[in-house]
Amino acid sequence: MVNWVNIGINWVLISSLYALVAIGFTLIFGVGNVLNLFHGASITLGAVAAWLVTSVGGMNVWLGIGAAIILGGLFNVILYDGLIRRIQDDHIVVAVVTLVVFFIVEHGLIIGMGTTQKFIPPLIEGQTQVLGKNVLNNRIAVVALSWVVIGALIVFVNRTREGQAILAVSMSDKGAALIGIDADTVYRNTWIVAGVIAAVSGVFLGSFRTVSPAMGLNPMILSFSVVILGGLGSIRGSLVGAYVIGLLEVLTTSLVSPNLSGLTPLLALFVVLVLRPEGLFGRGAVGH
Amino acid sequence: MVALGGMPFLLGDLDLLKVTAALYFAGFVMAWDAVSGYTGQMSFGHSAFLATGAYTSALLNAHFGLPLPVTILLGALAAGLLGLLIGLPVLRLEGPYLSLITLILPLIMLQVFIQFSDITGGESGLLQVATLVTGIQDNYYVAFAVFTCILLFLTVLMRSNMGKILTAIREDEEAVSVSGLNPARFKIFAFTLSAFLSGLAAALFAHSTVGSASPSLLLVLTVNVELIIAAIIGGMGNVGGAAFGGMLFYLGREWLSGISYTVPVVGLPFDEVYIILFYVLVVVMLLALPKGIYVSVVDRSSGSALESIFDNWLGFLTSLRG
Repeated sequence: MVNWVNIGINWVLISSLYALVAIGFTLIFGVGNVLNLFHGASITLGAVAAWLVTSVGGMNVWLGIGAAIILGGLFNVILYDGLIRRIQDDHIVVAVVTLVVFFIVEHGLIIGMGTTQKFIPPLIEGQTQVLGKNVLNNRIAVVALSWVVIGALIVFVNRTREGQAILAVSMSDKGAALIGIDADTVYRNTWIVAGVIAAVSGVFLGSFRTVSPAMGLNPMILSFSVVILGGLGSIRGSLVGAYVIGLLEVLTTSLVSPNLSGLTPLLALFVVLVLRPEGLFGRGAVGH
Repeated sequence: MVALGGMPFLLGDLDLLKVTAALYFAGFVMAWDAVSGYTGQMSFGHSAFLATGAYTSALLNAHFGLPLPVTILLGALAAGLLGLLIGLPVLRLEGPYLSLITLILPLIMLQVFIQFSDITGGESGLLQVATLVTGIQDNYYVAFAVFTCILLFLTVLMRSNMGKILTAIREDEEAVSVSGLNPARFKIFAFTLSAFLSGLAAALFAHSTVGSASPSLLLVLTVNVELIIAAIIGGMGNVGGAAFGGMLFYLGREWLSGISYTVPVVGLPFDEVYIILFYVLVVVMLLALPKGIYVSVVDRSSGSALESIFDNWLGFLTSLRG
């Protein structure tokens, strides 16, 4: 007997997290036209920060989220100012360098914390009855908070000066320069925002799975599928893409085989890129 | 080249094995460079072709008892065919899209391999792979032959009109189509050829004493990054640069992993320390010498060498201050 309620709950949970991860990735691409392959490490760093604060420091998990926000943002500022700013004209070098820095952080964490799995306490303890099934409160909190973050981001982008500058640069960097927007500041802001949301999604992920130095890689790869499906550079596309990819993932793992985790989204991505490379809401990928 | 040919007389067995593996790696880098360096179509997923060549050959040999020369050729053809099938739809994509989809390809393949672990050996790979020749020196000479053949073949090819067209596609694709040539055809040709050469070199590597058919050697994400880094360090779009970058990258890492064992850091896993050190070095090199060492220093034809390396360093130092 297939447990549709569980499938539905898992779907909403996983998809909300994918959306968070994907939005940061797509934002940096939309604004700077570069792939930030360090994004997965931001997820890991957020989870590690929360683990340090809660397990080692013995403090509240909400302080852990605060620490994750600071670390995720700080790391991306250093990365952007130290490296990316010098090489951002060449998207190949950016992709390679960000991936190499990912490896550096991953190996640094292996030295620092070992490879044994660590845990973050749930955001909210206990269970609630949903449609006759027991659901952990933590899962409900993760879904709700993910949407709070997404909502805050949408308000930030559409309602604040800094956010609108990001939008302007992603539409046309020349046009933005003409009306006096400093592209460098916008790039840096975008990297900070992306780092912060990735780190927060890392805490969420760690609160119902485990924390390990390599934990960010798979969510990042899945977010590739999400952003390609939705269209690279489109926030709306990422949201829709996340729920489609999340559905595919949950359906295959619960109905076909848990071993196939990660495979269907990648195959779906392949099909999308071949049939409709610009995605559902994206800009053209096929030139000339 | 003469120095490389004489290596067996100069080096001990252990070092000779390292140079043997480095020659194969340089072969992979040259094959990658033939499409990505020359046409600018960045592939982040060439390990899929490496694995296809190696696994096809090893499995055909183990299960059907076909002789190695036949299976190696079939492995290379299978890799070339995969390159053609992937290249047809994928090469329509531009820049980051192409990078992302090629990055995905080996990941899908690894999932499939794990799914069919009883045949492919899953994450640990194939344990018993037949060797083409035994003996450390003989293996070295096979690797040396593979390296030389790829180097010569690509050098000749890239000096012909084909090389000019491929470079022109990288510089300005529209100009190529305006002059009446179909860039798509040439890109697909280069992609297929590159996949074929990758499969060939990887199949020979798998059947040597230094290699085998396993995901960690031929399929994982790191392999692709290493290929790209080696090519950039040597100088992309330059056969000699790719060969030089491949050797330098592989031997440099081996050398670094050797000295780190003498560093008296207590309680730290040495492997991890040297890997971090190595990757930091890589980042510094990518920033300091974006054109690559070989192109900047060795290949005099492409501008005044010392001057350009000096300019690069100067630029790097000023950018650090600014």
